[in-house]
Amino acid sequence: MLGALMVLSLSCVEEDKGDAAVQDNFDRQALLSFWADEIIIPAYENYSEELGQFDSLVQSYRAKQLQSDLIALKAQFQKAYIAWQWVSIYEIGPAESRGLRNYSNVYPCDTAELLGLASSANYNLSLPSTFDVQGWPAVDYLLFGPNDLSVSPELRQYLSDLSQRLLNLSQATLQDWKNSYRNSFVANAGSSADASVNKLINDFVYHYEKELRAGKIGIPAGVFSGMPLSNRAEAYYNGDLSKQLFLESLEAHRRFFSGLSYDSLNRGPSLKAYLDYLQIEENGTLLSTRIEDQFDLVKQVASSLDSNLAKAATDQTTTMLQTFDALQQNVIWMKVDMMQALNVRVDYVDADGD
Amino acid sequence: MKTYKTLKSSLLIGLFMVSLSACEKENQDKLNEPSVLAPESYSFNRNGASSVSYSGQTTRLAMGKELNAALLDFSKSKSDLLAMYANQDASGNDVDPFSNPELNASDKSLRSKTAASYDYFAMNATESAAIRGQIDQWIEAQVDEIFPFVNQAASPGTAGQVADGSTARYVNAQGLEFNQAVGKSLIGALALDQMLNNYLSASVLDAGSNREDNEAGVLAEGQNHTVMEHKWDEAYGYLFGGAADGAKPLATLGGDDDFLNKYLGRLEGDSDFTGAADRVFNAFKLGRAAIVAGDYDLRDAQADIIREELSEMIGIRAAFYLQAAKKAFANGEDGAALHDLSEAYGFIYSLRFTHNVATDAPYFDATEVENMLSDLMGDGNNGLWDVSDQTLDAMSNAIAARFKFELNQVTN
Repeated sequence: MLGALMVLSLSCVEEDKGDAAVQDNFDRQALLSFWADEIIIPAYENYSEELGQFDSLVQSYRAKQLQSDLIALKAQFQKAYIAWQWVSIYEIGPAESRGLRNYSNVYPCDTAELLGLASSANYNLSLPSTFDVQGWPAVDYLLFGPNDLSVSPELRQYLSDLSQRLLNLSQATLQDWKNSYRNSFVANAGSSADASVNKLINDFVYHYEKELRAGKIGIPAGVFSGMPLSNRAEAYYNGDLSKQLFLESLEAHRRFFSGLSYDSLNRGPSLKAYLDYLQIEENGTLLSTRIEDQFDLVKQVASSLDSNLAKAATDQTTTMLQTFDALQQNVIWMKVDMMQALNVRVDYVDADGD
Repeated sequence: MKTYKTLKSSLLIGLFMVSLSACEKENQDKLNEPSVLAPESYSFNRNGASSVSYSGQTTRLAMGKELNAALLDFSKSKSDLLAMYANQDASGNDVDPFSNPELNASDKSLRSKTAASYDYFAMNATESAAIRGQIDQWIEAQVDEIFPFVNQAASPGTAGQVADGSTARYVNAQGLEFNQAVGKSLIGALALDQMLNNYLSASVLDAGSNREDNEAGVLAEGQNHTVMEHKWDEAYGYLFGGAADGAKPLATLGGDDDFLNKYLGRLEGDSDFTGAADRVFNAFKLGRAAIVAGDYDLRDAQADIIREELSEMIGIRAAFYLQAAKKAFANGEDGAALHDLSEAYGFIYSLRFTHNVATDAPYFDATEVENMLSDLMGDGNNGLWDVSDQTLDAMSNAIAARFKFELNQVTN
């Protein structure tokens, strides 16, 4: 019996050697250059520009309280919030060290806390406890919520502080990318856990799973709570923007995967190209094709959703859940199949939630 | 590696079963007797009414939930928080510290049941008092060392806030969240200790005339249960007393309290450990049915299953958080790492209340626990901020070695 056990265990250990590291000659440096120069930096440039225009309008409105400025401001809010969706994925290097996403887009906004801080005129927006009273969700509340900014100098001041902070963070991140981080990002072309490819793939898949799938769809649809939580939807106060924000983020992920430049004029090396180079197939079809088809399917399932996802969460819960399920398929194909094929280890754990 | 392990353990079980059937023939007769069956749900009746009762545990779990939340309510004073822990003031007077009036009306107390089991503390009042004093001290330190600094950023040697993902955590100068130390230590010192070392203990179940009364159907005064039945239910209540449907509690497992239920839910959610919740629930049902049938060996065998599973769970969670902290530090996520370590700190403290059925002693004794906690704090001048990977690995391995699980089941 013992002898048999040892033979069996030996043969099993042997089998484990099967998943040895994949050695490949895919040009990781070219991949990183394309990501930096054609996708990430242009996205930050666009975001900073839209944010700059937004901030000018905020400052003008704060000084003069013209209704025309407020209208323009609300329109520009949409453009800037959309532009944010295209940089949110890349929480690496200067964005990661600044905690850019936490300071820009934690929702829902704690509106009671926000009002208290604004009227106290005593707040430190660099503290983690203020994540949920700043950034786009807080701006969304101030511009589209129940308060009348024209009669509240404190709220106009607070809005101005939020806008300045968003602008400073985005400009500093962009400058760091251009000045030094771009080169170190591209030079770090190895395949260790700290290498740029490994880190950015993790950031990308994390963002897809947590921000896109869970944050924009799953949480408001009630996947994790058992009942819809419409106030958890993004852009809750300017609700009609929420589906568009979701679709923009979805498209940003798809283009990154497929290797389409930010302006969508150029094609370059990509995760898709990498998988195809390794000839990774899933049941006889290229894995990359399955992933791309799934991106299309998500869009198709989501097409009948109301433009307001807070509304959809309660009125079209089933469609929201179907959208979530469609998104989930690509979590599996990217986080399990793709990352295994590329020999990239998942570096994040599911947060404990307590 | 996992395939290999599973295969090996099933072979070992096979081996074990073969030896059982070969060597213990005399037990065969007993196995052939009509056996006690566990019901589908935890529901037991007498005279057409339920005989199950664990309202005292439900109350304490609710008190624990309020206390945990209040530890992060910066408007609370030390005496507010200590009153919630003890449900009385420093002079022993009745107080109303809770937001839920039913809890204020209750004379139950978290503190009086901390380190209060028969098996471990009936003859160890000294240590029991020291453990309660330790919890008091952490509660006071939350107010003294953390509350004054909640509006500043923490750094090594400085108390304040750290970001853990999008959440703010509040740590002392050594990086420790006292609210986590309190909450996670009470899992062991209160819920686990009461369950494993008190209500599931034969000394408690069989105390006085409990066996005779149980067999003669003598009911506790004014109640619909025998004393022994009630003791068993009280053990059950420390795990499932917060469930909306206490008879079928697995449907809401993980969400019914801040203590054992929550973490059994976490364990069940890890594919390496799935099945633990069913095993524990079944053991509770079968043990209760065995009491009704007067089969005390069967009862005690179920108690042992529960002791083993839930003790193991404490070890797994401690190792899990130590390893999660290591990973978070490597990713530059200091805030997440400190939070994991603060949870680990409490789970390690809880190890002292585990129950090894082979020795009827904890898997780690008080001295070992104390040493681990000082090791965790002792790699540099700034406590948890400075803990090394070597310390985290050594400690996780030491914990795993004492239990049945393997560290790679925790980290994968």
